[in-house]
Amino acid sequence: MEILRNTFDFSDCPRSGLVLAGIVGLFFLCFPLFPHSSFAMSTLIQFFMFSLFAMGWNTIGGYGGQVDLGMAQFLGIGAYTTAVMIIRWNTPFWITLPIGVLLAVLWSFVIGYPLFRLKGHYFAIASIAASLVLKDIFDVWDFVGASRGLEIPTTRFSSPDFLHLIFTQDVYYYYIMFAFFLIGFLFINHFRKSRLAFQLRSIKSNEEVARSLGINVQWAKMKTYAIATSFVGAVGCFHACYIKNIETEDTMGLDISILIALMAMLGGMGSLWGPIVGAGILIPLKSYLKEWLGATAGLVGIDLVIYAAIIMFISALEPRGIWGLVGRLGSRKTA
Amino acid sequence: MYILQVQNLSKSFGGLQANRSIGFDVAQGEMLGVIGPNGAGKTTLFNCIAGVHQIDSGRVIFQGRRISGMKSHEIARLGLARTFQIYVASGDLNVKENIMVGCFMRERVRSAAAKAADETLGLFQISHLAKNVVAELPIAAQKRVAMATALATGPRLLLLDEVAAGLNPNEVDEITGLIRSIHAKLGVTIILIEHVMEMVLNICDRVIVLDYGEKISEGTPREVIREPAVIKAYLGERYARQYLEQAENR
Ligand SMILES: Nc1ncnc2c1ncn2[C@@H]1O[C@H](COP(=O)(O)OP(=O)(O)O)[C@@H](O)[C@H]1O
Ligand SMILES: [Mg+2]
Repeated sequence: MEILRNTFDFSDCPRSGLVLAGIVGLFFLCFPLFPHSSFAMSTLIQFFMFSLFAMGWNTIGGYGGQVDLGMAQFLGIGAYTTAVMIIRWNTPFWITLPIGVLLAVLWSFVIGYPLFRLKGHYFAIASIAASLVLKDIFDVWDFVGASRGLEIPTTRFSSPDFLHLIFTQDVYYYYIMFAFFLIGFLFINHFRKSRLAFQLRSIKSNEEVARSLGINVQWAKMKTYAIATSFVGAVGCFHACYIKNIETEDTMGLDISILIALMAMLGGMGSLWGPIVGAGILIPLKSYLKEWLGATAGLVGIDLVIYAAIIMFISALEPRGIWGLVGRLGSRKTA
Repeated sequence: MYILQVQNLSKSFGGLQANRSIGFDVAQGEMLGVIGPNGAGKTTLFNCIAGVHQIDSGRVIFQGRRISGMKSHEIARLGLARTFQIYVASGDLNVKENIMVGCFMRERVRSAAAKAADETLGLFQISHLAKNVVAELPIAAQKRVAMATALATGPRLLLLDEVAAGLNPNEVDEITGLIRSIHAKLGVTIILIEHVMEMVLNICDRVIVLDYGEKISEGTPREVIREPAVIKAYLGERYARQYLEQAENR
């Protein structure tokens, strides 16, 4: 009962913010009904996907203070699980989804157990290393297509195929991802009020104090990592059906891991809205930059420059990200 | 009935012997003081009891159960809570949320933890600070929050490490009263490390004295402040006489 109440209770959020969120949500719901470009549509789908990645990252990274820079490996596990199962055995997407999530969580335990013995920068670096090792393995593993990657043959399915999630029109993907997004968002609203979230914030503040309060630090981190990686793994499964053409570089690259972490940091670590705000800024930026500069070879590095600038902005101006900035301006107004 | 028994406890850091075969017993409901000069090994003793350090030899028995060798969160769950001499509250938790973390050791859901935290806030007279960030509070209030958080776990034994350090005489009186009232109200056994001798003389039933990692004396406060070894190692002649007079006048 308490769980259900926490999930749908937003009473601690400011009224004006909730109204704004409601309007934006309504816009998302109706967006496909208005005339729109396929570019805008795919940008919004990306926004939903990366919001979920960042929400997942935010559990362990924002609430728990464990900066993970290897989230893409779990995206890869989800995507490859679904792709392999659909291509080889025609398995329905909805069966590949729990299996992909389960594998991502199992892998999170395998690497989380040693990784969470490390602190601070060492943890971040080790998470990068783990992710790159897994990518290298996938690059040479024939069963998952090695460096050729995998392609789901769309001709085998007649769109719209809701069982295998194969559509020729993006609007189906849009609504499915929007549903994922809403479910993820409500889950985080429950999570942030849970015992585990309080334990994590205590760990982030001081691990020795957390232990003295009866918190099993290692186990709390591993449980949260499982939550984070199931978010990323689930969207990874979706990614396979949406993109259909899976390669290690696009699914497991370091740039994706960094982008995920950066979104949560920019938006505001350890807050409900932060990851969404971060994704809402960075995804359109990334899409438009690619659109404008895509052909202009040699200038591709510009996104890295922008990311670096964002990191400087966060560390210098407001460690709590944009959400922290909003909070500060808000409290100044009322004060 | 002893709530805590420490037997032959030794702990060294490299070549430095911080605790040398220390032994003492603490009775249920007692208020025990631990005094001694800086670097005597008092905080190390707490860390050994609470499972922060693995001890080199000896045993610690809590409520009839051997706890030496257990992890600190397991020991906490058995009902042994402690505060830290240097309390670093760097997180974004406010006062009430901090205390809720303590409550969450026994409670599973937020509403129950919040309710328990409200009671603890009231007991420590810091309800008005509930929404403040701990790091921004004055030191006296921070010490209260640290004690309240530890007590929120519902311990049978509470270890307090210099909770009166850095407080002015008024604040010392207040926190002394507070310790006395939680001791009486909740029936929790307390061991406190303290340099403020007035406080030790005031509230402790018994005192142990550490010097260079060794227990050099044990007894009632009046007894230990007369001991030549304690006067030499810690109190000094002048203060010993002064404390003795105070004790006589009380
Ligand atoms: N974690 C540690 N590593 C190395 N030396 C330590 C550690 N903790 C304490 N010490 C040393 O042990 C001795 C006792 O310290 P401590 O227990 O903090 O004394 P007290 O609390 O009585 O002032 C000191 O010399 C201190 O430097
Ligand atoms: Mg000390």
